[in-house]
Amino acid sequence: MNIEARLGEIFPSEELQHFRARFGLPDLPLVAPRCEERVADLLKAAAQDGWKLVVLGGGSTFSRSPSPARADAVLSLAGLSGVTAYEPRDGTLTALAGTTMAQLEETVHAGGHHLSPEVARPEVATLGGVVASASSGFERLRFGAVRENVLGMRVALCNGSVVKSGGRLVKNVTGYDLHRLFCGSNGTLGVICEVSMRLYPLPEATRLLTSVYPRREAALAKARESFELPISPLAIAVSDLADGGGHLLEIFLAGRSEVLAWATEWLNERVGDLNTAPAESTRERRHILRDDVRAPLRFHCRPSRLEETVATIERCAEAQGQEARFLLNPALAEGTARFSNPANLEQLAVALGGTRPAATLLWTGTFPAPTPGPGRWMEKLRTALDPTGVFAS
Amino acid sequence: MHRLAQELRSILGPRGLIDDPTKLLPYESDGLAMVAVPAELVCLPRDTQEAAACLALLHREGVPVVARGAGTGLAGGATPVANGVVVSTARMRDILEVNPLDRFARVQAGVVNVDLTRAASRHGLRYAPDPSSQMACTIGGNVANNSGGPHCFKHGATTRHIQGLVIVAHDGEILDLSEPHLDPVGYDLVGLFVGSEGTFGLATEVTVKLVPTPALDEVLLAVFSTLDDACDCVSEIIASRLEPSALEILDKLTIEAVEASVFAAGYPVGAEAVLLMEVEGAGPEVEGTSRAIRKIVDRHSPLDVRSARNAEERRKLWAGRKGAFGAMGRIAPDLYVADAVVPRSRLRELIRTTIAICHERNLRLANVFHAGDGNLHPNICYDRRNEEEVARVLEAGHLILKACVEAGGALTGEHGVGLEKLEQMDLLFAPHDLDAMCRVRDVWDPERRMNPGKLVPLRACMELRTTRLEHKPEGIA
Amino acid sequence: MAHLEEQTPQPLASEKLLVDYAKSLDCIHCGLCLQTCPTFRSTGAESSSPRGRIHLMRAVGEGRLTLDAAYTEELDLCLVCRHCETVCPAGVRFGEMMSFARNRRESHSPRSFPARIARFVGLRVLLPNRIALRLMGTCLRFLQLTGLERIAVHFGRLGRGLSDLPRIPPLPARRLLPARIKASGEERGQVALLEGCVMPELYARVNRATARSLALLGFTSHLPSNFVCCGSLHAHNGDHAGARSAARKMIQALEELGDGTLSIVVNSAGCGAHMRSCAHLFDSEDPWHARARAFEKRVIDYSEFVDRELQDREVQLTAPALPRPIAWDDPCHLCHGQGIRSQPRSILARVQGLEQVQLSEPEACCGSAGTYSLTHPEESRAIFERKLEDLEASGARTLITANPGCQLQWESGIRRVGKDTAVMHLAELVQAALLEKKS
Repeated sequence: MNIEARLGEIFPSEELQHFRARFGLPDLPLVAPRCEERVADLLKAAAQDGWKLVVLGGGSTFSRSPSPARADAVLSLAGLSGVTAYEPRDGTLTALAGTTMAQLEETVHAGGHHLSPEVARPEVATLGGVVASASSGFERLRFGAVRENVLGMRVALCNGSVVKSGGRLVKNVTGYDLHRLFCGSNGTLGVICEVSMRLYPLPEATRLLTSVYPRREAALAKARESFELPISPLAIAVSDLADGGGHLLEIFLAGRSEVLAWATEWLNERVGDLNTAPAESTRERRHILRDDVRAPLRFHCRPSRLEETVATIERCAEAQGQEARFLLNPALAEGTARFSNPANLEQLAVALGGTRPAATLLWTGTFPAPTPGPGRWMEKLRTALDPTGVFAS
Repeated sequence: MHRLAQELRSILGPRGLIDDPTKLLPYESDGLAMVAVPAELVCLPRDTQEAAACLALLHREGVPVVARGAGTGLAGGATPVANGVVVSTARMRDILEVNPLDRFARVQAGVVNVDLTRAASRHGLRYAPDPSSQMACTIGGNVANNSGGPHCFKHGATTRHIQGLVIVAHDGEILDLSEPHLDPVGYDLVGLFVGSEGTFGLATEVTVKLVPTPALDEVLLAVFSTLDDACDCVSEIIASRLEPSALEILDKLTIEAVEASVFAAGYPVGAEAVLLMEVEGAGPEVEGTSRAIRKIVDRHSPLDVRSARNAEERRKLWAGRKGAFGAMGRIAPDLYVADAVVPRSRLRELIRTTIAICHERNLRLANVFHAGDGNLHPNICYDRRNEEEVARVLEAGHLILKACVEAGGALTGEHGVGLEKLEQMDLLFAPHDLDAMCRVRDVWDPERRMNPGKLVPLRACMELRTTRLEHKPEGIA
Repeated sequence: MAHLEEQTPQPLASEKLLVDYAKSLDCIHCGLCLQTCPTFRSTGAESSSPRGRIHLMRAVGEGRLTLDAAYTEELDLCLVCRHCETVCPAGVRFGEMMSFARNRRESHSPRSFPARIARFVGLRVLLPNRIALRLMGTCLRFLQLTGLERIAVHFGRLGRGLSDLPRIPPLPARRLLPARIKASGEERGQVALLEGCVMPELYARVNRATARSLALLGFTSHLPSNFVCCGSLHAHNGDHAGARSAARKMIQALEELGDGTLSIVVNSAGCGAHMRSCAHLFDSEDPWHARARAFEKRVIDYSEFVDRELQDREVQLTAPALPRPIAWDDPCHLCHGQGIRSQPRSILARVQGLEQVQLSEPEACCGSAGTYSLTHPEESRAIFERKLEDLEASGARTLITANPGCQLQWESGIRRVGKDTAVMHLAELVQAALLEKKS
């Protein structure tokens, strides 16, 4: 029996749609279950019939993952949407995986909370997708990585059982932290159905301080001085301006207004004169930085090796007649690069790989090749949780 | 065992193996003194290589292995298992690297928490997680239990501070994940390993994140005439989204025990409850938060609120809190400590329930807990020689955990499941939840020799085995 | 909450009490003591930790364990530095437990014949006998002068310990103090002063400095004539009969001195700590128990006494000429045994122009521990290594301490590695500073 007919037997028509070819995938049947049990039904059917499923959240970061070799159907979590529990007095949020980040933000903002990560396109990105891809936010410096804010989850395994790990509590060590394993697993181990997150107080106000330097080294040196600021900024960014316009240092502060005033004064004294950006452009820049996920190359390294990494990438690009433009997050030693000729990056990727950089390079569409030792353990984990290979990878 | 001892000694050297029955005796319990199981042998490797050679040999011989740090855990995670060997990290106490530039440190698993903090402090940095036993417990033990501590309220538990590990697997394979990465490359093996209570393997080296020492910290002490007021005050601080770095409650009995000890901190004896609070950060941030907190405290009819005047006073107030568990040795021969977590909006209710449960059973109870995290520590006093009392204590412990789970809580916030809370895992997890845990455990330790019988109830794992067997014929067919 | 009121600690005078105490013990196995223990840190074995040793004692009490060789070894390996007591939240009296456990062990399972001979000679012949001690001092000096001590290295552990001893001064420098040393200038009060057993042979100059500085502060010192040793080494080594006999002599001698109420100033932390808790040697029904209690209250450490005087009179001292900077090292039986920490520091802070540095672990044991450096030379040296590293890292050029055992360990250890850091007793510094002020 063909897949569509079989799906038609199991699922009501409102849960069945069609996936139009994108992200390197062909046209496929798409199932958008409305509840956990339905997710489980699909997984059981897939295990029985030997289908390979692609799990899709909002699709906002999907393009970053490698295209699977084979896929028979798409499991969309868009139908699994809604807030299960927002506990403003406890500072936690539990929601179904398909809920968009925008909807969640709206919910928690009303209670004075901030939900991290603050991602690109929150109206598209879903909680489950954000967690599965471990996309960290623009404000990671202050609030940490996604995996650090996930308190627990419910996950549907390939055998159709929906299991829980962790809980809705800010502190809990009961059982293994399986949720840490699913976080960042890109839908290859199980289907995240529901996630509980730790919330933070919504900062009263934000402020952006900027300065332009002719040389990147100078901008990075100034950024380093700002690390000493005793309160944690939302983000510190150093970006290359277009057409040799210099290098822009941006420091995003958030908090009570008297704290902002104090921090601004501190920075002006220690780092030098910084301009306070108007509110409008603060919002705009925040949006731009947040949206940086689309850059073809992301990398991270030890903070002390940032300059070296940037120089290596620049040199390799230059050798191939490419011009690289960087956006750096020096406090976390991560960054992205865009290139003048985006069509022809494969050669560059090969050349860069050959330099054995002291950094992790993540090219769009390729899952980083883990080193052999850990890779074997990862493979074992995958086999244990998905022995028949229901999840396409 | 004799031949095994000889082979182990040839790997570990004459001082690296303990096989004298007398000298093995102190290993029969960890901080959970209620349970004692004799260890057959204790290995004391000095580094990863020795540990790996040791585990490879034990793998060949099919001997169960229990990892042990300082043996300060309160859930029996380091209690030996029958016919098993203990691998202690007590001789692995080198700080391998402190890197102030990249803000991490690499240490051997047996390094004591406070020694790491001391080494980091020379660079104006610190290792944030500070379990109350920090002056004795090891980083390896902290990794195994994903330990907490008062400051985890702001900084998060151990897992948030572990950037890398060197793991020796059940068969002696060395898995080097020590390079500090911003994000894991591939699956988060390190994050999964932290909190696995020695059932996945042995962590021999740990890469930890170091954070700057705060420019300013203020310690406030509020005194209340009822425990309810203290709980409500904490709930309101949380609900108001304030971010102090620690919120700790001590009740009357605890205060008395601490004040009678070497850690006397100046807590007011006779008060029903004190709330110890710390705010850290910089200038106006600390001032603003303290001001807001004081306003909330004032609404809960405190008898007194004061701020520590200097570093020495701050140190004493904290030393008193951290010595509280041990100090209770003064009020009872033995103590049973529960470690339940509850939603922070329901502190008062569950503390009351806890008190009622103990009162009904005529048991003395001292409460000292990480209120800001909702992590309760009811300390029930008993004498282990009184069997009938022990039974009442266990019953009370069970009922407390049950009440907490029913209120949306969990069994353990920082001590781990170990042996002690094994029975209660069913309260929180369904068989298929435990089944998934067993699957992952089997990846790391297919023979189930690593700390067997801890953390996941054996029953659940047995069920998994049977279901597998049932499936097998189908697979073949 | 009657159970929490300050209770007079019950003495652990009988075996039954010790067993009961060990069983119902305040120790709840929390393990906070582990890392303070020098022997746990060096061996990594929990049987060599305070918690482990208590566990073993409890097992003996419960009849689960016999007094076997391993048990003895662990008891002997302990330095009884009592660092664990300082961090024990439950207030377990480890030192006392150890003293009784050792006594029980000695009386129940005899050592080898040569070991018994050595113990007998050391504890029962030498220590209580001034003439024997003098003779020993002279013999040692002879060995050192002739270079024969280097041969002693070949005669086992004890021999190696001997070769570590500092130079024994010539007899005139070892002269005993007179029965009374008058205050210089106006007399402000009178005190009893002890010379100690081994002190006059090795550190008679410290005794002279003690008496002289007390005199300079206006105090007349009286020395009891008819007793030699306080018995702390006996108690330490589990010879309670010997300790009791020494204690009786001492108590009697000091009751008979002056009006029988003089404060007893002690310049040896090890002796002081023992003298302050010697009542535990006697059963509570024994009349000596009450006498010992009264005696205990009279004991005061030199640093406590001097600090009080300096404070009361707001005396400022001037630094004498000595290699600087200096560092203070707490003797275990001063800080852990008697809880004295601030007084020596406060005295040093009063010395103007005295440049000070801090050791990072001033309260860690140096490995001297009474006779430990003689009975366990390897372990003692290993423990000392850490102290030496600490000293070097501090940059101090004079080390100040307040216990003859520690002074000995520091002097011989520093000499062994060829350093030139000076070692001084607090009394020597105070004397020099007081004289400096005068001149």
